[in-house]
Amino acid sequence: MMGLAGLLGTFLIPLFESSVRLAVPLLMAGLGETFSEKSGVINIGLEGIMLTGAFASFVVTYSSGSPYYGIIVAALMGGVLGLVFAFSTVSLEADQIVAGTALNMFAMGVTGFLYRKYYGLGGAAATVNTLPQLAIPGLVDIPVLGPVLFNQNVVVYLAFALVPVAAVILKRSSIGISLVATGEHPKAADSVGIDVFKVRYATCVVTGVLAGIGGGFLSVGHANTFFEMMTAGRGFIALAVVIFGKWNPWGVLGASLLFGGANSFQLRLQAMGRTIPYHLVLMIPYVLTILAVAGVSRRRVNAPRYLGVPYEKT
Amino acid sequence: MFFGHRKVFTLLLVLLITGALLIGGLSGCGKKSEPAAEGTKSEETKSDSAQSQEGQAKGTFKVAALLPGPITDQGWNASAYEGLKLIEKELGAEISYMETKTPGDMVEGFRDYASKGYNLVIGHGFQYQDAAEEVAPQFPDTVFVTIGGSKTQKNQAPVIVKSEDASYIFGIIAAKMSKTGKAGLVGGFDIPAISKTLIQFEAGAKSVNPDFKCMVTYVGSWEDVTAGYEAAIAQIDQGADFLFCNGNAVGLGVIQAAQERGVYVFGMTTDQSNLAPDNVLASDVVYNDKAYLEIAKRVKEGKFEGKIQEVGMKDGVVEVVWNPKLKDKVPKEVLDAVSDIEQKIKSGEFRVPGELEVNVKQ
Repeated sequence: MMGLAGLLGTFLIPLFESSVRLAVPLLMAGLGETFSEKSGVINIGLEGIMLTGAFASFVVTYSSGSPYYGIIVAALMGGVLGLVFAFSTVSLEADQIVAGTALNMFAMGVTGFLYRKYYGLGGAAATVNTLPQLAIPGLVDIPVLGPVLFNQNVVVYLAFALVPVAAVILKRSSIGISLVATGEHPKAADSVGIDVFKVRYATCVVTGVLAGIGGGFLSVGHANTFFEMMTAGRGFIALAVVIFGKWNPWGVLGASLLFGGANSFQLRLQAMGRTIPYHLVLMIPYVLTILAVAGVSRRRVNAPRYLGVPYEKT
Repeated sequence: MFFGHRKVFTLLLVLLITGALLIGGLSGCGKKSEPAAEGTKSEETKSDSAQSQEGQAKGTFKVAALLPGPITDQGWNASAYEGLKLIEKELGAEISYMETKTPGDMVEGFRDYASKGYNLVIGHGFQYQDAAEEVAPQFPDTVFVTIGGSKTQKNQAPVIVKSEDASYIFGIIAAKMSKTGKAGLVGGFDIPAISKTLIQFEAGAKSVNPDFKCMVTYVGSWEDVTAGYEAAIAQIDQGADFLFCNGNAVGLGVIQAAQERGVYVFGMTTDQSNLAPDNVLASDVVYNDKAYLEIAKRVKEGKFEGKIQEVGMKDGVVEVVWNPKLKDKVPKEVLDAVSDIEQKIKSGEFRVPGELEVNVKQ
């Protein structure tokens, strides 16, 4: 029993804590993407939106001193990018993959350029205040899970709270039914009076807002600084998370924790000894991604039928 | 209506992509010629440079560098930029640099500068050596130097910066001061330029205490700050009370973890004590600018030879810089041991094994 308690304290609890931190950006972006994909719009610009969110929240936190303002502005910037994406893919019927790629390139270029221009040269990297941890009285004292789940910052709570909210909206509300109809058969949805354009605009903006917050978490919630390309592919892993989670908010939660957990596990495995080549453990999250995309998408479980197809009103 | 949509869409898409490429090009992979002292990068400086190249007398000494990342990284690439500025100042040379990511870019970068008559083109990393090897025979009047690597020919040689001179000393400090007898070492990628510093940290620590334990984690990134943070937290959880990271921006996360958990950490490449004044005990400061200047002098004076050029603590290129705020807290015995080994390295009495002498795991 002592052995088990020791294992819990020194390995499992820290592992779980770190998995949660690593899962949050994936969860936020993944939930957002679930909304837009359910309505038939695939946004592969998540990486760019997250990077923009990370940069915006860093800039605002740096100048205002408050990471809360940082997160709010990250959400706004994400929303604006979502709107731009909606304009090009919904109104102008641009190819969604091309528009998403353009969004990624645009964000990488702009954030890199501005970071270098205003913060780059000279002395130290700028560090900012991070979101404070808010312990929830009572719940934080629950053994094992308490400190992991109930002593976190506001974005972590938000991400986890959004899972049931998203599930209820998508499955049980009339908005959700219209949204799913738009992705499954836009023409039929249109014929019963659902404004396909409006629905898709809304989901694109929601995706942008959530991915922006997820990016903001990286720079002011997890790290205390911004660096060019610090999203390090998380936007693309979030796309895999959506597929792995079968377009279901609970599935997205599970997949995010799995990916965050795999990453955290490999770092801990390396710290414990070097008997295993580090390349092999580093591969774990990416192998999971490939398996997710190859294994699940082939059968297209739950994939919206009109995913990626612009709707032309006739 | 339909046709109108398509037209607008095409136009918008072209504009978007052009814009993204333009901005990405300016900041990401574009070439920045900087004949002026100002560091601003814009279309204007580019065209200024083009004009000045044509207008200049043939005899101007010209030096260029190819960099694997942005000059704003507070570390590896920033130091290359400072080196170029020093060459510009000391030798009156015309300088330029370019960011290159892929092997194809590297070959094109070398060829581009060599064909414009640059006397010295420096690839800022060992990964440039194959590209240099390919291009060098075609341009016998240009010297190709890579920072790290092993390949040599008549007009090509690697500069090996012995940053392990300082990390070996960090190992000694950690082993003498650690309460747990464990240190956590984080690397960006497992490549010789990185792994040699971690290996010599461990060697230094074991020279003091053969039972000292070093945990080694590679995160597989130069930019993933949060992965560095999590790697360091994992090591602290396993008992490390000293941390060292060699991996560009990854180190920012390691320093953040040290600050949060109240352990000591060593900075890398530049003096990083201002990032966490209570935790960064000392930094492995590499004066790449001095290495750049030295190699440029040799080329300008015609003394360059196609063989490995090692530069380290002995040459003033590498130095252990204490955090002034924490130096008082370091026991005198440790400070003495450090200055003793520094003396021995500088006089040549002791040599920290370099990356060509130890069997660096690939």
